[in-house]
Amino acid sequence: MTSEVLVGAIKIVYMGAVEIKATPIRGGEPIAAIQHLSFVTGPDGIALETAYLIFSNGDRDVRVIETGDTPSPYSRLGHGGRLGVYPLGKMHYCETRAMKLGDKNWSNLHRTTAREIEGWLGSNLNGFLSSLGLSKVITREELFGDEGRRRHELATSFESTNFMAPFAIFALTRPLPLLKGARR
Amino acid sequence: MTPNIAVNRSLNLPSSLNEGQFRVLIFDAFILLGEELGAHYHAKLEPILGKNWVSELARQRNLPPYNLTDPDWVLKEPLRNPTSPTRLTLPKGQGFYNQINLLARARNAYFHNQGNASADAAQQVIQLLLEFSLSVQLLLCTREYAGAIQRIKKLLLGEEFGGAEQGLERIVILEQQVANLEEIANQSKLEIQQREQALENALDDVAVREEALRELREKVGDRDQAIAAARIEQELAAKLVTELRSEYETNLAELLDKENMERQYKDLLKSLVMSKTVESLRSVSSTKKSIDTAALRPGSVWYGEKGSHRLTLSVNFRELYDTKTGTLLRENHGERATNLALKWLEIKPQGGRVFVDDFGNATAYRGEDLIFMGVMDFQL
Repeated sequence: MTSEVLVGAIKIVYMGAVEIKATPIRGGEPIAAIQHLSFVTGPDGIALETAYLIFSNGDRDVRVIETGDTPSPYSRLGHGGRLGVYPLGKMHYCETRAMKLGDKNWSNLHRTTAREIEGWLGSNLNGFLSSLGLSKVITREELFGDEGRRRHELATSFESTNFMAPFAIFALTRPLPLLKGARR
Repeated sequence: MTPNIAVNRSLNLPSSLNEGQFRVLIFDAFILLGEELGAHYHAKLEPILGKNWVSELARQRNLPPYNLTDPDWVLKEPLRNPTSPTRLTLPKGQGFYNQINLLARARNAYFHNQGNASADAAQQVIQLLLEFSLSVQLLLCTREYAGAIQRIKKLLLGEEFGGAEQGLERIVILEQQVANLEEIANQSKLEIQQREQALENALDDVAVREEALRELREKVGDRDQAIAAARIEQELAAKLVTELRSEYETNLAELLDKENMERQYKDLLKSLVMSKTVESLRSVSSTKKSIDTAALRPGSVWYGEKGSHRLTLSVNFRELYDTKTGTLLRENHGERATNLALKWLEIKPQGGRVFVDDFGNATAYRGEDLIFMGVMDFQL
């Protein structure tokens, strides 16, 4: 598996893995987890120390653990915009909701389209996803027959052992849209 | 941010016919214009529009906050916006706006490394700045630009002056300003993150109370007293959100302002490096002396100045990276960089920023003390 990935203007360098104790997205007491680390850098001073956490209870997410001197609006990723990673049979999937700027430079996650993501990426989206072992971006309904209120959200799946895939989706849907000035 | 301009602020006058020195003079002249014209706008408009008029202006246009002392902004704001309040503080007429247009173009050329830095060119640019300052009655600029023109004329007549190292000192000051601004911005970030977190919690609270109110309404209808009580609670929570949001936005605006200024100085330094000004000036003079570190133990208090090159010592990665560019030092220096990170983590286990000076002396903050980390054994 490659240890360096370019997501448009954003670079991801894999930095290894460590065992730690941390709190999953849903909260509660810290539990054991494998923490894969990557350094997400890019223009405009983006330098985010990022972790893909695989918890002992099966929960997974991607989060920024240190923003350093990264300026606004990216520094918001220091405690917001975590990417949930969920089981899908023998694979895992994550949604592709993207960080977009709203009024007064306040960014939040919002629904997006494949075309919009492709615009930020600046190259063929499906080609990019497939090169990293990710499926095409499709709705949750198409991916696993979701009938709930979130069935129209876009998502992509990947092998459970592919730890670069969630980092790539994180970069694609968090710092990259902010860099491109995406607005809701 | 309210601009503050020191009355003893002076331009770095060239001491010889050196292009690097003329370039520094031109850059410095534009920066001075930004400082005094920004202060002029603020002094005239604050009594009418209030102290937050600049951030309000940006907010109305749905743009990030402006930097009041940015030489680019002070010129382009009135030039490109016919309804800008800054126009109220300036002379009227097409001739004056032609003058601003010319200056904006000149600033653009020099700050993007395209301007000619001969003595004649420098004289022409400073003359334009002088005429502009006279029109707006910027007293400090007028005095300094007139002095600069006198100096260039004397140099062209063959007169020599001391203090060749002043241009270099100005660059060192700029580097220090960038480092300080980065430091201030970084400190503000923590506070802003805490406020943002408090705001998010309050927003969650409002959502929960709204939901409770809705459920209650479904159960007992609109007339019950419990509804009134729940509504009061919901309104109080919403009020708290408004207050927290206002605090957060004020802090964020200040941070963005500092970051804007930091970017401006960084761009300036980049232009100076690209135009080989720093190289040219360093070849003229190198007067700075290194502190003798032979007897200094790593971890002891450092009494010198902190360096302007900033590295981040990452606890998570156990590596060092350039704070400005995000480049991992191991990419260019391999294991030596990793080993240095491990060594420094023994001195400062919590990691953080490390400042390196021109001689490779590395320092970092431990509490309020600046401590010596060691001397780098490779060139950054």
